[in-house]
Amino acid sequence: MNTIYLIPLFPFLAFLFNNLLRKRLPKFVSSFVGSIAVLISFGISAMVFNAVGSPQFQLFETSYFNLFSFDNYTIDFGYRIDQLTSVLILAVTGIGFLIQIFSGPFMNGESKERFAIFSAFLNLLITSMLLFVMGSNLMVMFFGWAGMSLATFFLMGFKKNDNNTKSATKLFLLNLAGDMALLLGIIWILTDYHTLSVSKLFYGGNALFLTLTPSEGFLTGVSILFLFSALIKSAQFPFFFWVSETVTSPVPATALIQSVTVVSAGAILLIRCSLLFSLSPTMLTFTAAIGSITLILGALIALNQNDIKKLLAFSTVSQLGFVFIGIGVGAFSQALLFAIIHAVSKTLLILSAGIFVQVSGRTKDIRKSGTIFRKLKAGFIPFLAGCVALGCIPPFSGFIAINEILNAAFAKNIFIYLISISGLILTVAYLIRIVALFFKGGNEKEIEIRYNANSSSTIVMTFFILAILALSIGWINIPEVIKPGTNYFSSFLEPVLSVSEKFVKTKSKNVGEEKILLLISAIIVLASVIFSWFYFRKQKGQEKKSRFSTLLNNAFYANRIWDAFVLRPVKKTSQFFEKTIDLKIIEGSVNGVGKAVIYSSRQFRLLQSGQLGSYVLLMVLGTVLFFVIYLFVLQ
Amino acid sequence: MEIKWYIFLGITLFVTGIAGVLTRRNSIIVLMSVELMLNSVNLILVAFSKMHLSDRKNAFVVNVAMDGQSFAFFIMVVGAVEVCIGLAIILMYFRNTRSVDINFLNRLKN
Repeated sequence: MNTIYLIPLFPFLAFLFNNLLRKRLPKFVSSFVGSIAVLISFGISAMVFNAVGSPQFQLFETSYFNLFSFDNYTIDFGYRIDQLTSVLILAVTGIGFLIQIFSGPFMNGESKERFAIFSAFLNLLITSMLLFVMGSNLMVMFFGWAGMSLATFFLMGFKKNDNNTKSATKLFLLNLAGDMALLLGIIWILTDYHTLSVSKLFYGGNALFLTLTPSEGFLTGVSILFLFSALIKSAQFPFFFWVSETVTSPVPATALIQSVTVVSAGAILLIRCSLLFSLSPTMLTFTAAIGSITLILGALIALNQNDIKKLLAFSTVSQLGFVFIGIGVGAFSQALLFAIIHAVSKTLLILSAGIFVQVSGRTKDIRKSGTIFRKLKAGFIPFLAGCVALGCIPPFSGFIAINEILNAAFAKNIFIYLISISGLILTVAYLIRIVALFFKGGNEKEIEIRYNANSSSTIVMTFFILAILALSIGWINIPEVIKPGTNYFSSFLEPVLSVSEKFVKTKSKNVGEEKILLLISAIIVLASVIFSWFYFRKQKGQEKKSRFSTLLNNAFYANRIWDAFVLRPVKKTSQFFEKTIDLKIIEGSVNGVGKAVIYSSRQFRLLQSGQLGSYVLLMVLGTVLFFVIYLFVLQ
Repeated sequence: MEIKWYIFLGITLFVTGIAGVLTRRNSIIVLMSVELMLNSVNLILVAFSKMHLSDRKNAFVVNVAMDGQSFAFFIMVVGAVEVCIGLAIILMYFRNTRSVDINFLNRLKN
């Protein structure tokens, strides 16, 4: 337990090592260092998890050094290990390690310098996420939060061209706005509560939020700031377009961003600060509403995409909608479980889609080259497994997690339940559509096979582990209606989440009702699988382009709307400030002083005529003026 | 005699000097006008000194009043020196240009 500081340290050292020595290291060394560092962290995390699981576990908090102190606040740099942290560090380092070893053979085409940089920034992203997850106070969490924005920026701009740089910058600025909102919220908490310690604020029977009940304005303000920040990080409704722009980064980076780090971080922030949100029910309902909107929009857009990376990106958006619904209805542990299942299966899907992209000669179009991909068993079977896990097919993991969220939604609000059910149908539909298109194939003659994915045993091994995990991880939390006492995950997290869950639980559990709900969702999923399979198999290759599908294909023109309503006004304002305030007023006044001196000296220079008479006259006039002032004005 | 008459005379002499400096072009006359101004100041200094010396009760005032007279001597010495130098400069100019026109000096700029 005393070695926990090594968990974020090792990936960070690997980041420094690979980044500083990038010109010297051969590829296998940077790949080895990059992945072994995460593996060591994973080992330590496993030990920590083991220790946390033992019955005599006490909450473990460390404080290494003083970050800053002023007045009577001191903020330390330290880590906190509780049940939530132990689960998350295991997930982050585990998936991070698998992605690191996957990127070894996958990114083989890059030069050794670029390869080392790539490996380094993957490690930076992992470090930031670990820092965020493990931080014992909000300031340390904020460091991780902002570090993720930075690492995402570097990874998105990895392939250098103008377009990438532009979208990476745009995303970075957007994330920065979220970071600032979070920082404002943190400062607000600091001014009102004089501490940022997570334990003191949120946990235990005498948590400060319980004993010193916050005022209505404070609660609303802070939770809006936190929620705003989380919505940006998790790509929820008004900001959902940015995930589709991460497809410009290489596949392993996309997988890491969209699975366990950046997009999950928003949800994890809300779960970490769940007490804050539980105290204001309106904010929880609002979160669920945002989640519902995102769920439906993301799924509809995904249904109409043909670019596989974009499709998976919008699928991420819509799945995160489920997580936010889960948080909104108060099923925190189930939402977290769903986020982890989504992370594993989305990693699997994106990585195997990366194989597809390499195979199909970088067309990314799922209507083409399905047959070739189908022949590549090492890529295709993991893809199917990911679809099964993510598509909530009973009895695999996705179904188990989603069922609990649906139950909680049903108990809370029937509208959210109905929206979730339709979101589930849409999710199944777009996943089945990919598979159906793959089976239908396309005109493969245009496409040359570039890469033989079967050959790399590392990739096959990665896929195997991920597929097993994706399918089975849900079984750690079998619902009580099937077999009592097997919801290990929820009961494991109970010490952390019980404080806030007390506020949101409204109805007591009704076993009969839950059985019916379980049956309903199972039937709905299976029915929509069968229906969409036959629908998309029968569909002709060139579907008629209706106006609505064009709209969906372009993701509701969200990018353009965003440009028109947010970016352009901001740009106009900053141009106004640049042109008018900065150039005219500030620079004008600075330059104006100089100009005035030059002008007036040019006028005064005329006095230096060089004529004796005028000098004498001036002297006399000066004397007279002096006398006049002395005798008449000053008297 | 009242002090005001001395002051009137001093002012008259001073203004005459200024007018001479400003209007005349002959440099010797300009020099003379400068001397006139110096002497008008001298006159006023001595007049005030005399006025204060008549009030013998205050030792401090007497002391200060004596300064006026010593200043007058200084100014005479300075004036004499100035005339020496001025006349020497004028003489040099006269040797070069065969005139004593003050406008010859309108080249102070360069």
